[in-house]
Amino acid sequence: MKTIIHDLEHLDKELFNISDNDVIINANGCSNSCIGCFSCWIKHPKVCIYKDEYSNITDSLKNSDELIIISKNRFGCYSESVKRVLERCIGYVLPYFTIRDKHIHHASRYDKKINLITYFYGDITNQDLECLDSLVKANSINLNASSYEVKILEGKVINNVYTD
Amino acid sequence: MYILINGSQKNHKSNSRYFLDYISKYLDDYTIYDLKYDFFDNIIDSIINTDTIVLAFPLYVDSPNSLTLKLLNYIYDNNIDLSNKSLYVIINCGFREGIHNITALNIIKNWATKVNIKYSGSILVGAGEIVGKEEYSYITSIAINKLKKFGRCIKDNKECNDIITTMDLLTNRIYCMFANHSWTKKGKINNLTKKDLKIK
Ligand SMILES: Cc1cc2nc3c(=O)[nH]c(=O)nc-3n(C[C@H](O)[C@H](O)[C@H](O)COP(=O)(O)O)c2cc1C
Repeated sequence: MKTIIHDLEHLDKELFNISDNDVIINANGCSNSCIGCFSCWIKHPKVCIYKDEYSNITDSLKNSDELIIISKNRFGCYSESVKRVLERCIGYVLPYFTIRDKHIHHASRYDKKINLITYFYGDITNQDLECLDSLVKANSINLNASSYEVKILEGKVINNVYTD
Repeated sequence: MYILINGSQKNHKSNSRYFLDYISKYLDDYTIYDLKYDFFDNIIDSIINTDTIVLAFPLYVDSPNSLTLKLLNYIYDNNIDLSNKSLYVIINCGFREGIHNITALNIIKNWATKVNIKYSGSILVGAGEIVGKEEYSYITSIAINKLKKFGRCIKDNKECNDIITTMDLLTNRIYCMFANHSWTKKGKINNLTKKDLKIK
Protein backbone atom coordinates (compact mmCIF):
# COMPACT_ATOMS: atom_id res chain seq x y z
CA MET A 1 0.00 0.00 0.00
CA LYS A 2 1.12 3.57 -0.73
CA THR A 3 0.27 6.97 0.74
CA ILE A 4 0.30 9.77 -1.81
CA ILE A 5 0.41 13.41 -0.74
CA HIS A 6 0.02 15.79 -3.68
CA ASP A 7 -0.96 19.31 -4.70
CA LEU A 8 -2.05 18.59 -8.29
CA GLU A 9 -5.38 19.70 -9.68
CA HIS A 10 -5.69 16.40 -11.44
CA LEU A 11 -3.79 13.31 -10.28
CA ASP A 12 -2.96 10.91 -13.13
CA LYS A 13 -3.24 7.57 -11.30
CA GLU A 14 -1.74 5.61 -14.17
CA LEU A 15 1.36 7.81 -14.36
CA PHE A 16 2.11 7.26 -10.69
CA ASN A 17 1.02 3.64 -10.64
CA ILE A 18 -1.67 4.26 -8.02
CA SER A 19 -4.11 1.48 -7.20
CA ASP A 20 -7.50 1.50 -5.47
CA ASN A 21 -6.25 0.55 -2.02
CA ASP A 22 -3.67 3.36 -1.92
CA VAL A 23 -4.43 6.41 0.21
CA ILE A 24 -4.51 9.70 -1.68
CA ILE A 25 -4.21 12.94 0.24
CA ASN A 26 -4.92 16.12 -1.67
CA ALA A 27 -2.93 18.81 0.12
CA ASN A 28 -4.86 21.64 -1.53
CA GLY A 29 -7.73 21.16 0.91
CA CYS A 30 -5.53 21.41 3.99
CA SER A 31 -6.31 24.77 5.54
CA ASN A 32 -5.30 24.05 9.14
CA SER A 33 -1.59 24.57 9.83
CA CYS A 34 0.40 22.90 12.57
CA ILE A 35 0.57 25.24 15.56
CA GLY A 36 3.63 23.60 17.09
CA CYS A 37 1.65 22.42 20.13
CA PHE A 38 3.18 18.89 20.06
CA SER A 39 -0.23 17.40 21.01
CA CYS A 40 0.42 14.65 18.47
CA TRP A 41 3.36 13.62 20.68
CA ILE A 42 2.32 14.34 24.24
CA LYS A 43 -1.47 14.64 24.42
CA HIS A 44 -3.09 12.39 21.80
CA PRO A 45 -0.07 10.53 20.41
CA LYS A 46 -0.15 10.21 16.58
CA VAL A 47 -3.28 12.37 16.18
CA CYS A 48 -3.22 16.07 15.23
CA ILE A 49 -5.16 18.46 17.46
CA TYR A 50 -7.19 19.66 14.44
CA LYS A 51 -10.06 17.36 13.63
CA ASP A 52 -10.24 17.14 9.87
CA GLU A 53 -9.33 14.65 7.15
CA TYR A 54 -5.61 15.30 7.78
CA SER A 55 -5.64 14.56 11.51
CA ASN A 56 -4.58 10.93 11.35
CA ILE A 57 -2.27 10.49 8.37
CA THR A 58 0.12 8.63 10.67
CA ASP A 59 -2.09 5.56 10.52
CA SER A 60 -2.06 5.43 6.74
CA LEU A 61 1.73 5.89 6.77
CA LYS A 62 2.01 3.07 9.29
CA ASN A 63 0.28 0.74 6.83
CA SER A 64 2.22 1.93 3.78
CA ASP A 65 5.42 0.70 2.16
CA GLU A 66 5.82 3.89 0.19
CA LEU A 67 5.24 7.58 0.80
CA ILE A 68 4.89 9.42 -2.49
CA ILE A 69 5.01 13.20 -2.41
CA ILE A 70 4.11 15.16 -5.54
CA SER A 71 4.69 18.89 -5.20
CA LYS A 72 5.25 22.09 -7.07
CA ASN A 73 8.81 23.28 -6.54
CA ARG A 74 9.00 26.49 -4.52
CA PHE A 75 12.58 27.79 -4.36
CA GLY A 76 13.91 24.26 -3.71
CA CYS A 77 11.16 23.36 -1.23
CA TYR A 78 7.70 21.78 -1.22
CA SER A 79 4.66 23.91 -1.96
CA GLU A 80 2.97 25.59 0.98
CA SER A 81 0.02 23.17 0.94
CA VAL A 82 2.16 20.01 0.78
CA LYS A 83 4.30 21.46 3.54
CA ARG A 84 1.22 22.06 5.69
CA VAL A 85 0.30 18.39 5.40
CA LEU A 86 3.84 17.18 6.12
CA GLU A 87 3.99 19.34 9.24
CA ARG A 88 0.91 17.55 10.51
CA CYS A 89 2.56 14.13 10.10
CA ILE A 90 5.28 14.39 12.75
CA GLY A 91 3.37 11.94 14.96
CA TYR A 92 4.74 9.29 12.60
CA VAL A 93 7.98 9.45 14.61
CA LEU A 94 8.35 9.59 18.39
CA PRO A 95 9.17 12.75 20.32
CA TYR A 96 12.09 10.87 21.84
CA PHE A 97 15.56 11.44 20.44
CA THR A 98 18.00 8.74 19.50
CA ILE A 99 21.48 8.76 18.00
CA ARG A 100 21.84 7.35 14.48
CA ASP A 101 25.19 7.60 12.65
CA LYS A 102 26.50 9.92 15.38
CA HIS A 103 23.63 12.38 14.84
CA ILE A 104 20.51 13.04 16.87
CA HIS A 105 17.21 12.07 15.26
CA HIS A 106 13.73 11.22 16.44
CA ALA A 107 13.25 7.57 17.31
CA SER A 108 10.92 5.61 15.01
CA ARG A 109 7.41 4.81 16.23
CA TYR A 110 7.16 1.82 13.89
CA ASP A 111 9.60 -0.95 13.05
CA LYS A 112 8.67 -0.98 9.38
CA LYS A 113 10.65 1.34 7.12
CA ILE A 114 9.01 3.29 4.33
CA ASN A 115 10.38 4.27 0.88
CA LEU A 116 10.21 7.98 0.21
CA ILE A 117 9.59 8.94 -3.42
CA THR A 118 9.20 12.59 -4.40
CA TYR A 119 8.15 14.25 -7.65
CA PHE A 120 8.60 17.97 -8.25
CA TYR A 121 7.17 20.04 -11.06
CA GLY A 122 7.25 23.69 -12.19
CA ASP A 123 10.31 25.83 -12.93
CA ILE A 124 13.34 24.25 -11.32
CA THR A 125 16.82 25.81 -11.34
CA ASN A 126 20.04 23.92 -10.54
CA GLN A 127 20.15 25.61 -7.13
CA ASP A 128 16.56 24.49 -6.51
CA LEU A 129 17.56 20.94 -7.42
CA GLU A 130 20.43 20.92 -4.94
CA CYS A 131 18.06 22.07 -2.20
CA LEU A 132 15.43 19.52 -3.17
CA ASP A 133 17.99 16.74 -2.93
CA SER A 134 19.27 17.78 0.49
CA LEU A 135 15.72 18.40 1.73
CA VAL A 136 14.38 15.00 0.67
CA LYS A 137 17.52 13.28 1.94
CA ALA A 138 17.10 14.95 5.36
CA ASN A 139 13.41 13.98 5.37
CA SER A 140 14.29 10.37 4.62
CA ILE A 141 16.84 10.28 7.45
CA ASN A 142 14.41 11.83 9.92
CA LEU A 143 11.61 9.49 8.87
CA ASN A 144 14.10 6.62 9.07
CA ALA A 145 13.07 5.70 5.51
CA SER A 146 14.77 2.82 3.75
CA SER A 147 15.47 4.87 0.63
CA TYR A 148 14.61 8.13 -1.11
CA GLU A 149 14.18 9.31 -4.66
CA VAL A 150 13.87 12.76 -6.18
CA LYS A 151 12.17 12.88 -9.57
CA ILE A 152 11.28 15.75 -11.84
CA LEU A 153 7.97 15.83 -13.61
CA GLU A 154 7.71 17.57 -16.99
CA GLY A 155 4.21 17.03 -18.31
CA LYS A 156 3.94 13.25 -18.37
CA VAL A 157 7.68 12.72 -18.47
CA ILE A 158 9.41 11.63 -15.29
CA ASN A 159 13.17 12.16 -14.90
CA ASN A 160 15.10 10.52 -12.10
CA VAL A 161 17.47 12.95 -10.46
CA TYR A 162 18.63 11.55 -7.14
CA THR A 163 18.32 8.12 -5.62
CA ASP A 164 19.77 6.67 -2.47
CA MET B 1 13.83 51.41 9.62
CA TYR B 2 14.04 47.70 10.39
CA ILE B 3 11.17 45.27 9.91
CA LEU B 4 11.49 42.17 12.07
CA ILE B 5 9.21 39.30 11.09
CA ASN B 6 8.41 36.35 13.31
CA GLY B 7 7.33 33.50 11.03
CA SER B 8 6.59 31.02 13.79
CA GLN B 9 3.21 29.29 13.84
CA LYS B 10 3.14 28.82 17.60
CA ASN B 11 0.19 30.07 19.59
CA HIS B 12 2.36 31.19 22.48
CA LYS B 13 5.61 33.07 22.65
CA SER B 14 7.90 31.38 20.19
CA ASN B 15 11.66 30.97 20.18
CA SER B 16 11.81 32.93 16.93
CA ARG B 17 10.10 35.85 18.67
CA TYR B 18 12.52 35.57 21.60
CA PHE B 19 15.47 35.91 19.20
CA LEU B 20 13.90 38.91 17.46
CA ASP B 21 13.19 40.61 20.80
CA TYR B 22 16.82 40.02 21.70
CA ILE B 23 18.13 41.49 18.43
CA SER B 24 15.80 44.48 18.70
CA LYS B 25 17.77 45.71 21.74
CA TYR B 26 20.48 46.74 19.27
CA LEU B 27 18.18 48.64 16.92
CA ASP B 28 16.63 52.10 17.24
CA ASP B 29 13.90 52.27 14.68
CA TYR B 30 12.13 48.95 14.23
CA THR B 31 8.76 47.18 14.15
CA ILE B 32 8.26 43.52 14.99
CA TYR B 33 5.45 41.63 13.27
CA ASP B 34 4.06 38.20 14.07
CA LEU B 35 3.15 36.63 10.76
CA LYS B 36 0.46 34.58 12.47
CA TYR B 37 -1.37 37.41 14.20
CA ASP B 38 -0.64 40.67 12.43
CA PHE B 39 -2.58 41.81 9.41
CA PHE B 40 -0.83 40.32 6.36
CA ASP B 41 -1.34 43.41 4.16
CA ASN B 42 0.26 45.63 6.84
CA ILE B 43 3.30 43.38 6.91
CA ILE B 44 3.63 43.51 3.13
CA ASP B 45 3.28 47.32 3.14
CA SER B 46 5.97 47.61 5.79
CA ILE B 47 8.27 45.30 3.86
CA ILE B 48 7.85 47.45 0.76
CA ASN B 49 8.70 50.60 2.73
CA THR B 50 11.73 49.41 4.66
CA ASP B 51 15.46 49.04 3.92
CA THR B 52 16.19 46.03 6.10
CA ILE B 53 14.22 42.89 6.89
CA VAL B 54 15.08 40.42 9.63
CA LEU B 55 13.17 37.18 9.10
CA ALA B 56 13.05 34.61 11.91
CA PHE B 57 11.35 31.23 11.67
CA PRO B 58 11.57 27.65 12.94
CA LEU B 59 12.77 24.62 11.00
CA TYR B 60 9.77 22.38 10.31
CA VAL B 61 10.38 19.08 8.51
CA ASP B 62 13.89 20.17 7.48
CA SER B 63 12.70 23.35 5.75
CA PRO B 64 11.05 26.74 6.41
CA ASN B 65 7.68 26.33 8.15
CA SER B 66 4.56 26.66 5.98
CA LEU B 67 3.58 30.09 7.34
CA THR B 68 6.96 31.49 6.31
CA LEU B 69 6.56 29.83 2.89
CA LYS B 70 3.26 31.69 2.53
CA LEU B 71 5.09 35.01 2.86
CA LEU B 72 7.86 33.99 0.45
CA ASN B 73 5.33 32.78 -2.14
CA TYR B 74 3.19 35.91 -1.84
CA ILE B 75 6.13 38.22 -2.46
CA TYR B 76 7.40 36.20 -5.40
CA ASP B 77 4.00 35.51 -6.99
CA ASN B 78 3.02 39.18 -6.80
CA ASN B 79 6.34 40.41 -8.28
CA ILE B 80 7.00 42.60 -5.25
CA ASP B 81 10.32 44.27 -5.90
CA LEU B 82 12.73 43.97 -3.00
CA SER B 83 15.84 45.30 -4.71
CA ASN B 84 17.88 47.78 -2.59
CA LYS B 85 16.75 46.03 0.58
CA SER B 86 18.80 43.80 2.88
CA LEU B 87 17.73 40.50 4.37
CA TYR B 88 19.02 38.95 7.59
CA VAL B 89 17.77 35.51 8.62
CA ILE B 90 17.39 33.69 11.95
CA ILE B 91 16.48 29.99 11.75
CA ASN B 92 16.15 27.81 14.82
CA CYS B 93 15.63 24.08 15.11
CA GLY B 94 14.95 21.49 17.80
CA PHE B 95 18.02 19.37 17.19
CA ARG B 96 21.21 20.19 18.99
CA GLU B 97 23.19 21.24 15.93
CA GLY B 98 22.50 24.42 13.99
CA ILE B 99 23.73 22.78 10.76
CA HIS B 100 20.31 21.15 10.35
CA ASN B 101 19.11 24.61 9.26
CA ILE B 102 21.44 24.87 6.25
CA THR B 103 19.01 23.51 3.65
CA ALA B 104 16.31 25.89 4.88
CA LEU B 105 18.80 28.73 4.58
CA ASN B 106 19.66 27.70 1.02
CA ILE B 107 15.95 27.75 0.17
CA ILE B 108 15.79 31.32 1.50
CA LYS B 109 18.89 32.24 -0.52
CA ASN B 110 17.23 30.87 -3.69
CA TRP B 111 14.18 32.97 -2.93
CA ALA B 112 16.33 36.04 -2.21
CA THR B 113 17.97 35.74 -5.63
CA LYS B 114 14.57 35.49 -7.29
CA VAL B 115 13.10 38.57 -5.58
CA ASN B 116 16.33 40.60 -5.89
CA ILE B 117 16.79 41.21 -2.19
CA LYS B 118 20.36 41.50 -0.91
CA TYR B 119 21.05 38.55 1.35
CA SER B 120 23.19 39.89 4.19
CA GLY B 121 23.70 37.06 6.67
CA SER B 122 22.17 34.59 9.06
CA ILE B 123 22.33 32.87 12.39
CA LEU B 124 21.36 29.20 12.46
CA VAL B 125 20.47 28.22 16.00
CA GLY B 126 20.61 24.62 17.21
CA ALA B 127 18.67 23.53 20.32
CA GLY B 128 16.22 26.39 19.74
CA GLU B 129 13.84 25.20 22.45
CA ILE B 130 16.65 25.68 24.98
CA VAL B 131 18.48 28.71 23.60
CA GLY B 132 15.14 30.49 23.10
CA LYS B 133 14.15 30.30 26.75
CA GLU B 134 15.38 32.58 29.51
CA GLU B 135 15.12 29.77 32.07
CA TYR B 136 18.02 27.89 30.45
CA SER B 137 20.31 30.93 30.23
CA TYR B 138 22.84 29.16 32.48
CA ILE B 139 23.79 26.89 29.55
CA THR B 140 23.11 29.07 26.52
CA SER B 141 25.70 31.83 26.81
CA ILE B 142 27.78 30.69 23.81
CA ALA B 143 24.79 30.83 21.47
CA ILE B 144 23.50 34.05 23.00
CA ASN B 145 26.90 35.71 22.52
CA LYS B 146 26.74 34.77 18.84
CA LEU B 147 23.25 36.25 18.69
CA LYS B 148 24.62 39.48 20.17
CA LYS B 149 27.32 39.56 17.49
CA PHE B 150 24.63 39.06 14.85
CA GLY B 151 22.57 41.90 16.38
CA ARG B 152 25.55 44.27 16.19
CA CYS B 153 26.10 43.30 12.55
CA ILE B 154 22.50 44.21 11.70
CA LYS B 155 22.80 47.49 13.60
CA ASP B 156 25.90 48.42 11.58
CA ASN B 157 24.23 47.31 8.32
CA LYS B 158 27.20 45.05 7.67
CA GLU B 159 27.26 41.82 5.75
CA CYS B 160 27.72 38.96 8.15
CA ASN B 161 29.06 35.45 7.57
CA ASP B 162 26.52 32.73 8.34
CA ILE B 163 26.80 31.94 12.05
CA ILE B 164 25.98 28.44 13.29
CA THR B 165 25.32 27.64 16.93
CA THR B 166 25.35 24.17 18.47
CA MET B 167 24.62 23.27 22.07
CA ASP B 168 28.27 22.34 22.62
CA LEU B 169 28.02 22.26 26.40
CA LEU B 170 25.94 19.09 26.17
CA THR B 171 27.16 15.98 24.36
CA ASN B 172 24.73 14.22 22.03
CA ARG B 173 24.04 11.62 24.69
CA ILE B 174 23.32 14.13 27.43
CA TYR B 175 21.23 16.27 25.10
CA CYS B 176 19.10 13.20 24.25
CA MET B 177 18.71 12.33 27.93
CA PHE B 178 17.77 15.92 28.76
CA ALA B 179 15.21 16.15 25.94
CA ASN B 180 13.78 12.66 26.47
CA HIS B 181 13.27 13.29 30.15
CA SER B 182 11.41 16.48 29.30
CA TRP B 183 9.08 14.63 26.82
CA THR B 184 8.21 12.03 29.45
CA LYS B 185 7.51 14.81 31.94
CA LYS B 186 5.23 16.58 29.44
CA GLY B 187 3.39 13.30 28.82
CA LYS B 188 2.88 12.83 32.55
CA ILE B 189 1.22 16.23 32.81
CA ASN B 190 -1.37 14.83 30.39
CA ASN B 191 -1.64 11.58 32.40
CA LEU B 192 0.26 9.62 29.75
CA THR B 193 3.06 7.19 30.52
CA LYS B 194 6.14 6.71 28.38
CA LYS B 195 4.46 3.60 26.95
CA ASP B 196 1.37 5.64 26.04
CA LEU B 197 3.53 8.15 24.17
CA LYS B 198 5.06 5.28 22.20
CA ILE B 199 1.73 3.80 21.11
CA LYS B 200 1.86 2.27 17.62
C1 LIG C 1 5.87 20.20 12.76
C2 LIG C 1 7.24 20.38 13.32
C3 LIG C 1 8.34 19.97 12.58
C4 LIG C 1 9.63 20.14 13.09
N1 LIG C 1 10.69 19.72 12.33
C5 LIG C 1 11.94 19.85 12.81
C6 LIG C 1 13.07 19.40 12.05
O1 LIG C 1 12.93 18.89 10.93
N2 LIG C 1 14.31 19.51 12.60
C7 LIG C 1 14.49 20.08 13.83
O2 LIG C 1 15.65 20.14 14.28
N3 LIG C 1 13.46 20.55 14.56
C8 LIG C 1 12.19 20.44 14.09
N4 LIG C 1 11.12 20.91 14.82
C9 LIG C 1 11.38 21.60 16.09
C10 LIG C 1 11.32 23.13 15.97
O3 LIG C 1 12.20 23.59 14.97
C11 LIG C 1 11.71 23.74 17.31
O4 LIG C 1 10.76 23.35 18.25
C12 LIG C 1 11.84 25.24 17.25
O5 LIG C 1 12.50 25.68 18.42
C13 LIG C 1 10.50 25.96 17.19
O6 LIG C 1 10.75 27.35 17.02
P1 LIG C 1 9.66 28.48 17.27
O7 LIG C 1 9.36 28.48 18.74
O8 LIG C 1 10.31 29.74 16.81
O9 LIG C 1 8.44 28.14 16.48
C14 LIG C 1 9.83 20.73 14.36
C15 LIG C 1 8.72 21.14 15.10
C16 LIG C 1 7.44 20.96 14.60
C17 LIG C 1 6.25 21.40 15.43
